[in-house]
Amino acid sequence: MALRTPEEFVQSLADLHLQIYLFGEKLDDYVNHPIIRPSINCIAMTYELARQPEFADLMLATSHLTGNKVNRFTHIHQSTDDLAKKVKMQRLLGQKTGSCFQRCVGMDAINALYSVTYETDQAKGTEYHARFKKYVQYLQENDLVADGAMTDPKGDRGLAPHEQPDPDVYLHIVERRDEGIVVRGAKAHQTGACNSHEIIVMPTVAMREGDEDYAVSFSCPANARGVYYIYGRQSCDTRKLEDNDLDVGNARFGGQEALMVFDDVFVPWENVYLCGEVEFSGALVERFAGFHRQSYGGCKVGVGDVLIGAAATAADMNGVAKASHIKDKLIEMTHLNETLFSCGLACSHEGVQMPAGNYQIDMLLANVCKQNVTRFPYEIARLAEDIAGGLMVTMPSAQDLADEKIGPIVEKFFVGQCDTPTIDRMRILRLVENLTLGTAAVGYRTESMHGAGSPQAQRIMIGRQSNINHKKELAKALAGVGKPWDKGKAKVPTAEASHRR
Amino acid sequence: MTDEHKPATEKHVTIVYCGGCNPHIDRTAVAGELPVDDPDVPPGATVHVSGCPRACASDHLLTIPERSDGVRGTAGTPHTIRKSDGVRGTPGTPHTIRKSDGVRGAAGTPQPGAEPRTVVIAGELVDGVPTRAADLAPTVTRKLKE
Repeated sequence: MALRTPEEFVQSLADLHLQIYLFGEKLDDYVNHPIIRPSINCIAMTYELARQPEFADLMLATSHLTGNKVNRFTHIHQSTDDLAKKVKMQRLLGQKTGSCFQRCVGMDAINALYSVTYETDQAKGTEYHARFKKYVQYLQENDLVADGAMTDPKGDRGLAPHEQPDPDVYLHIVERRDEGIVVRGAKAHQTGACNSHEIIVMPTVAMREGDEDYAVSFSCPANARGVYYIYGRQSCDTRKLEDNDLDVGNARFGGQEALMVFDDVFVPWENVYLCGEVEFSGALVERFAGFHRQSYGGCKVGVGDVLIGAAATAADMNGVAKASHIKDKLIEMTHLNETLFSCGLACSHEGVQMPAGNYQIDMLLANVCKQNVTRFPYEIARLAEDIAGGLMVTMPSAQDLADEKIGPIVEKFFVGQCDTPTIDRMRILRLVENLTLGTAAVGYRTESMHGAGSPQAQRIMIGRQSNINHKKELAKALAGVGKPWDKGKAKVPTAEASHRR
Repeated sequence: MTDEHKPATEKHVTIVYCGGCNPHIDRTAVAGELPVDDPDVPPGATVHVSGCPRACASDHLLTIPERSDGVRGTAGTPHTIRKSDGVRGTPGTPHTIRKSDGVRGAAGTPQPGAEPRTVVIAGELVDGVPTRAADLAPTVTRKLKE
């Protein structure tokens, strides 16, 4: 099958007849639901841009499995150049959608599993890698969206998976059959899960002896029997139910998170990629997280570009663009944003080829990237709110602006720079609101904090790889630590002594 | 060449170091334990010694894949790993086994029974497999003599 069109993607999603619950009701026409559709539009953009020649270099890649051109979201990275192009593609999509476009998790999952299945086979004599390569080829040839599902609800964080009072808080195997396995549990915070054709499940933490039933990785169709979704709420989400495109800020695009439930789901062996090999679950978690921490050095930067642009436009419309402190704040926002991009590129260019043949990012730099992402978007958002002014949260509604009697009053008092229509000023302020504390803030702020692992997870990884002993040796060598000291030479300095030195 | 200019012993192993900006291991100590003059090692072997998992000595490759004739590529220097068009060869593709395009695996004609080996040390990894620092040299030595 050739690359899909955006329309084909939306239709294929509707054809899945997923079991999605929102506000306590099961949805029928979910692809046209006003709360869900903007998130579908985001993924549709990954198909749209792939068809445009001017974006082909970033959006397409050559499959090492078939030699065919495929959407980069289904590609196994074959070079450091591929890794860098991934980050640039994500920036581009952030710019075009101003949202989380959700398709990255599947890309990061297939790249992590590619090397881990290979290494598991080498150590254990299993046959996961060949199966997984066939599955990747299936994704590529059908241009599918896959959800990378890692985060279990986890229950009591102080207990191992097999020690939990309710075993289902970690997804686990409940039955092994000749034809496959049966799994039960859930995955939380699933970005784009309801917009995916396929689900790729991975363990959520490093496992140890006793956790064998929890060390499981597999793929299944998003509409597999027993899989259903409970849609996550977002700040201000019901504004999307109002019949206007003003108060939502970004009417076309948005993100999506859901709780994905596995109620005794059967998975055939050909789609199982880890089954009880506890010692490889840690590597899988680290590599998926590493790739996803790299991703944030692209996607959040693209959204940051939109927010910086919105703040600068608001300054223009407020008539303060020439104020030196405004210029300086925009420079600071740009500096922070480009620092994130630098980290995303750095961990890509310092990537390595794994024994499986694919390329992996530099782990230390990827974790530094994500650690910065837990901070900088917050500061960029703070500066955007500073520049925009308080009106972004005190403006009247679209209905007030449309009202025959008070509409002209709103127009009169919320006018800005004289050639700016009030409606446009309101639109740009609503976009800033959307990104900083509306529906898109889920992606730009809280996802920056907790997505791909909370800040402490990165600090643990940074600590592990900081090579602190080498740094100590550097310091000791320069300071002369351990050198014999002749205290007789410690005399009051003189010009003569200085010349001798 | 007069005798006095000949090396005292034939070097069987070429050592290629990374730049050493962030070493997790003592690169020269590990290299010092390798059997560079050992006649049991087929001549032409190369060991890429990087201080950390970034594997700069082998141009970011954790392993140098074998060619289709079963011989591991012998990069010699990091520069010969890179293809002339600036694109790195990828294992399993025809690029890794061709000799004429300057891709890795291009050095020398393989001699039956004396196949040159290439081993990558990248921090505490040997050919991508976690290996304690103390075991690096013995592991590489064993591979070179296989």
